[in-house]
Amino acid sequence: MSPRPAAEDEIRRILAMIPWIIANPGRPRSEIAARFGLTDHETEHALARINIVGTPPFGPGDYVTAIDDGEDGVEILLGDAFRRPLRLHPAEALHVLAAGRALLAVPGAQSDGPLASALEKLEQALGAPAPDVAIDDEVALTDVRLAVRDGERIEIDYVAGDGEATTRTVDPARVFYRDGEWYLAAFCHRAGDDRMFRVDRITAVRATGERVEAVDVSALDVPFRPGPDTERVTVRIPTKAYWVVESVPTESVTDGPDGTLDLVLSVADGSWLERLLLRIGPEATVLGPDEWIGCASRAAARVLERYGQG
Amino acid sequence: MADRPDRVERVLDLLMMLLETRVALTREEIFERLRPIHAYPESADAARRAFERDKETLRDLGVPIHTEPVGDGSLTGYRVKPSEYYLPDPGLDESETIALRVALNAVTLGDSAGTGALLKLGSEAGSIITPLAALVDAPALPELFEAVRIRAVAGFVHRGTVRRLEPYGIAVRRGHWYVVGRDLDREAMRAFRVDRIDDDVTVGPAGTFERPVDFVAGDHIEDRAWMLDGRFEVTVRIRIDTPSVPVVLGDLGDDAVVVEEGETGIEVEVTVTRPGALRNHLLGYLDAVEILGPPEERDAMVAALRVIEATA
Repeated sequence: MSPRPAAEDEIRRILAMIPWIIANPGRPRSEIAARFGLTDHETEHALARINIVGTPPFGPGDYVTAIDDGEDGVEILLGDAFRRPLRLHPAEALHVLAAGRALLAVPGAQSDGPLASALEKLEQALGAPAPDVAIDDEVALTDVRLAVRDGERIEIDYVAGDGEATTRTVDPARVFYRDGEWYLAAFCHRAGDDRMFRVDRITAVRATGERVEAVDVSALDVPFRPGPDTERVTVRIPTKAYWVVESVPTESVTDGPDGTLDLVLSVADGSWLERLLLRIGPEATVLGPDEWIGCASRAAARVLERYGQG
Repeated sequence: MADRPDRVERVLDLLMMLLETRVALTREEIFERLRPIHAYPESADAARRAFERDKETLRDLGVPIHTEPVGDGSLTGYRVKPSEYYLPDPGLDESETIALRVALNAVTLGDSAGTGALLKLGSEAGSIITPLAALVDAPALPELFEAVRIRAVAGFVHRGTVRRLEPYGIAVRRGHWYVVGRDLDREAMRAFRVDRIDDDVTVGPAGTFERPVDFVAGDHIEDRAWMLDGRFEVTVRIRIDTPSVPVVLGDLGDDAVVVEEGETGIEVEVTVTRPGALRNHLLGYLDAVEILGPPEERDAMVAALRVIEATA
């Protein structure tokens, strides 16, 4: 049993509660519970904890006192040492500044509203420059975001990763940014199922004028989750191609002979693997299953045809 | 109060004492003062281990524990300076607090929920909107950010190489975190991807350099490998089939100039410093793109493909 994380969370919460109660005396326990996301029981427990905190020599007047007066609310006496919150941990400061900057960087954000002024004040108080967060705009972004907001069915022209262009009618559920890309999660009528679309690959958006009910795409994961019909392909790569491990989802990575790495990749789309293998170069070798062996060579031959060298 | 306090209570007692003391206290003094409540075990070894663990917990929470030599200098004293402990009041008004709450709900950073920061800043916990954007986390980020904040030299290992950097800022470009600053060994501005930095970052003494005025970290980041510093420039002409045009142009960036537009595709010219990196990138589009010229670049592409073709 490792009690540390739980103890840390509890300490963190108590250190946040004390200054708030001191600054806002006489609030009912239920309000404190709601504000700190606790149950009534947890709040009672936390207040009891606060009552046990004291300073030497631990005489009757040396304990922090939290009084829960029911109707008259909660009050804390003798808690002066904790009257102000603990400074932000570097990770917390980073998170709040990065989140604020990211939201300001979303295309269409209001750049001189309360969020901008809050960030300026925080930078000042923390003595830290906020991270410089850029979020790319995409041509189709505004249209798909409006469609999600208005609950409107749309028709999109979409270019898949293998270059295949399709036109699809979709019921949009959610637009979000993750790891450098904007995604649209939607029910796709062509596929008859939920699908994730990269917004930069949507080349046109047309309104249909039809309304759709709230679309639930919670079954979708982002951006790729191996399904039952994906193949597991084992690829041996040289160590200098370690970037592959960082940039594609691997099922496993093990050491191969002579400083090579053996990766098991989930492959749903053969052209995805071809593109990856060509970029790694001749030192990449598919170890199996059999039908995938030599697929890089076949892909190279196909591209050579384009150069008139077939 | 005769029961031995549990760890949460003991850590809070320790913290309150360290905050209120005006002089640094030695470990023995701390044990002595907390003896009335039997805070630490009687056995010297067990007490020392428990104390180390408590110190670690407080540091993990972000409590700045100050150490200094006391007495004849052979002992270590501990205290928490109130000026370092308390969050300076940023003076946020209500609309600003709400705006921050919206931002922390809308933008996730790894698995962290940002709730801790919200509560300290006087906002409520709890989610009010679905997340709009997810930024990846990297283990080395908080320490690099702290090094930026206190203007301290950061030492780290980046892809196997030891670096010493005066970090001026951090930035996100195309979903990746970068730390940007002056590389002390190369005596030049450098940007490093944070996810390629081992998480053992050493942070030197504070205030050892000045951050340039109006520094914009993103201005020093180039994530297109074919545009990195190179010895020469070459203008490559590329044909792109229509379906792939938006994606390829998006990847090539603003430097690509469209010189020809046809029914089935377009031709662009892009001036690059590292044609090899461009070739490698274009291989990822398979036969949807074609290098048209100059001849040596086209030949190099054919040669690269021949080598791969021969692997079967």
